[in-house]
Amino acid sequence: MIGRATRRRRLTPYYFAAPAVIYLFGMWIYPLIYSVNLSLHQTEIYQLMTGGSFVGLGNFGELFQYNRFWNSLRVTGILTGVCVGTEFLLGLGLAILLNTAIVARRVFRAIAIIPLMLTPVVLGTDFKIMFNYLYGVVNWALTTVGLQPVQWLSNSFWAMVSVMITEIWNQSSFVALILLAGLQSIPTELYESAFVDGANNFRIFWSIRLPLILPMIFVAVFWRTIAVFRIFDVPYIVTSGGPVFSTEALSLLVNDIGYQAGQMGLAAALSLIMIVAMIAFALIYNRFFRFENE
Amino acid sequence: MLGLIVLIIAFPVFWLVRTAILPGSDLALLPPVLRFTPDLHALRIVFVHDQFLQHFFNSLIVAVSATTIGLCVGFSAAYGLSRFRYHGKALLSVLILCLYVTPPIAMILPLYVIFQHVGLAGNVGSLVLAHSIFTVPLSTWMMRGFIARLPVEMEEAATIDGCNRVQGIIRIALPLLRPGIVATMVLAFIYSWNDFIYAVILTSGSDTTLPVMIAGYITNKATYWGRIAAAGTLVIAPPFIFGFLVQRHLAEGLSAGAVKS
Repeated sequence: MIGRATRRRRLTPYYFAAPAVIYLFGMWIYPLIYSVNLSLHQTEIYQLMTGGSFVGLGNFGELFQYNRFWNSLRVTGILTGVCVGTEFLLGLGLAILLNTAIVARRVFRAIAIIPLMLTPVVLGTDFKIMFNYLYGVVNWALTTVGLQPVQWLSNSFWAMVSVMITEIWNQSSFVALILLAGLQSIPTELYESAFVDGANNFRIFWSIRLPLILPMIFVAVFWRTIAVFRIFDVPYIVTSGGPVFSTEALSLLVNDIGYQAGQMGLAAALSLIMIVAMIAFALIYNRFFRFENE
Repeated sequence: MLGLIVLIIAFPVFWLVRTAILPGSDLALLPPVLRFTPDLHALRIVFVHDQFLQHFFNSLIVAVSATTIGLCVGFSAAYGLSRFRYHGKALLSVLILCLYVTPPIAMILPLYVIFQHVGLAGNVGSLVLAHSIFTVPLSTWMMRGFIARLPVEMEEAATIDGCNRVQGIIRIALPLLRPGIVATMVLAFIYSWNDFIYAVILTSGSDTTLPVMIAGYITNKATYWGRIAAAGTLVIAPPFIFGFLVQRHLAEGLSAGAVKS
């Protein structure tokens, strides 16, 4: 016979988990099912309450033939790859710098956080102002040193660069913070014994620091990839999807299809593709790097 | 070297503040004017003409509510995940992760419809629920890391002294976890405060939040640089302040307990 106390003890973890489970069902599983249903119908925005006609996988087929879909895949892929990579390098550099500059490290770390705190919309408008072709300070600086002004926001290539610069400026500190924490958790005895053994700075970095902060690197790369894949605010504000869709990332395309063109079913299909991609990425990454420790 | 980095970091912010208080006529002047009499005209318009305070309170209410929900659900889940072993624990963990990585735009679509059915459309409440999609997993992951670092012996000692589990948490664990909880709250608040994508689709007009208001200054007719910068400077103030207060714990929380000490 299980006494009442024992049963209560056995059920305790479930009590703790209950709010999250209820939340997951209500705010994730149910909307997802709804989204799947939506993606199988051709639903215009004015048909949302009444429902549209069933088209099976027709929406997905339409997507795969849509050149803007492939364009946004390309844009998102480039954005993710370049931004995450650059943020990693810059963040690593910044972290190493902050790790060694003992003088007023707290002050510099506080300064390094500044870009991170900026509201993306404010950040986007600020950079939009700075990148303005005629009146922006960036072009003014370029002309002062004798270079040609750049069409930051109206040229397909430079628009991508502008968006990337904005995002990289914003989030490199994020990577730097995480890596700095990792660097600072390395016991100094490891360095000392390496010095005694005659290792130079580069060797120390490569063989001691880098391997030991590898978990932090994986974490930082993971979160940044997730974040840049879903990027919306910065391209929307700075370039509105760019001259001729050249900066139209996936999220912007979903927004355009769903809320501008009104094709909710199509938008739902695209958003499902995004969800699947992200979940697959998360699970595979997790399996490989096991950062989700039990 | 460090000076150059500081310059790169600080310049855009400096430029923002400068644009906010620049007299309108000087905005288009090149080379940029560095000495000028500050003009608070833009700030005045923002407050009087554009209902800054209304949007400010919207942002505030949403952020506080979303943070609270996130922390309540998240802490509970995190505690359960940290301290116990039970069936379905791994599944719950994975599902919360899946929730975390789902792109917001993908959630907005069904939520938009569901909220319309329920009658929450355009309401500040819909935004609170939407933001909780981020704050709940964030709180769970961060608290999990912080709780895991707290030795179980603390609470066990409390149970020996006659408390039950919950009392043990309240009396012993929570005070010790305060820095972690504060860091979590700050990050969740900042996220909700800064959010744009949920707000721009789910709310409009006077129900909307600050970021949407600022984005609204970019119109087909003109871009109101002065007002953007003025409002923008005010908008970034809370995240700045809160961020500085908890910067020491930010890295811990951001890495979500990835490194076992």
